[in-house]
Amino acid sequence: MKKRSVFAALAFAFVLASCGSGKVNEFTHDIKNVKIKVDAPVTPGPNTIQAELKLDLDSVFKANKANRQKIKNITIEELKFSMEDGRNFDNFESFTVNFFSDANDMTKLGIINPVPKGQNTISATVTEKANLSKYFSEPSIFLIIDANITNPDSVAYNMNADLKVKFSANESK
Amino acid sequence: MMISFLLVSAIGMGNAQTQESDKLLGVWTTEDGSARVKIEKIGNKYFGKTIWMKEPNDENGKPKVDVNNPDESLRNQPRIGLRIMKDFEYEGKGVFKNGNIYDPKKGKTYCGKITMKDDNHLDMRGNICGFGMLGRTTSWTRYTE
Repeated sequence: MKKRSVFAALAFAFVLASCGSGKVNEFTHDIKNVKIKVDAPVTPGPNTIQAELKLDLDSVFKANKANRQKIKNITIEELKFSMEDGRNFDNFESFTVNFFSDANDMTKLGIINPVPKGQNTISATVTEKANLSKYFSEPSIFLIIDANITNPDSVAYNMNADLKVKFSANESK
Repeated sequence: MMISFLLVSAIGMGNAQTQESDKLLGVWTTEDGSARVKIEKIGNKYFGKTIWMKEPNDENGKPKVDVNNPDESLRNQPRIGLRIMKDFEYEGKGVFKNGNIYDPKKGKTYCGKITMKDDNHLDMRGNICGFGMLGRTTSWTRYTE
């Protein structure tokens, strides 16, 4: 009987330990100045604009004392785009922002529709706070923008994207 | 010397394959001439988006939307701009596989295979996934202004 109780207590302790009592760190990281170029000539109508995100996640996790191997959740909190060369987004009607990697389907992140006039910085409403962990384990992540462009200029558009990413991962030891 | 030669050959072959597969890029007119699809490369995969329709408006004069989509939340998305081809991968010899193609007229998605006949013509095969025999092939022509 005594043996059985000891065994039960040990089993309970094991279950508790394996459930992970490790502290979870939540932190945000700003990915700034992602360069996006829309080459000329731009055709009017639906356009796909893409940019590859270059991230040094190891440094981000180290700085935040989090374990990159034990990610719980990654979401995009803010998406902001700014136009360079003193131009604005007046020729853009709508903006749908997606995440993509070769091993994962495209996920819609946010939308700007209609694009406000006279602005050279626009923010997307994050429509879906999906867990994007699977993308961040890939060697390349792409930011894909489906944009409807009316009366495009004859010169290329140069933009910057800023993303605020929220991470949740076990604390590193 | 030998290693350098092999390395240069491998890089050359890789570039040649990329050039060959990228012949798929561009704007294509569907067999019945009712739409034009722009094929683009994202990462290592190929996607296609409807960019023009012969009849872009519905009977009420409004831009057509994806009314037949099985996902009700997507039925308001405009037909022009709709990404109807997804995830095609180059297999070699002008063949692209593992992708899918969406038919907005039926609201159905099929497994797809693209075979380039030459630089300006391709066969688009759509079949019920898992049943390669049950499908249809249409011929698309490269659109040039």
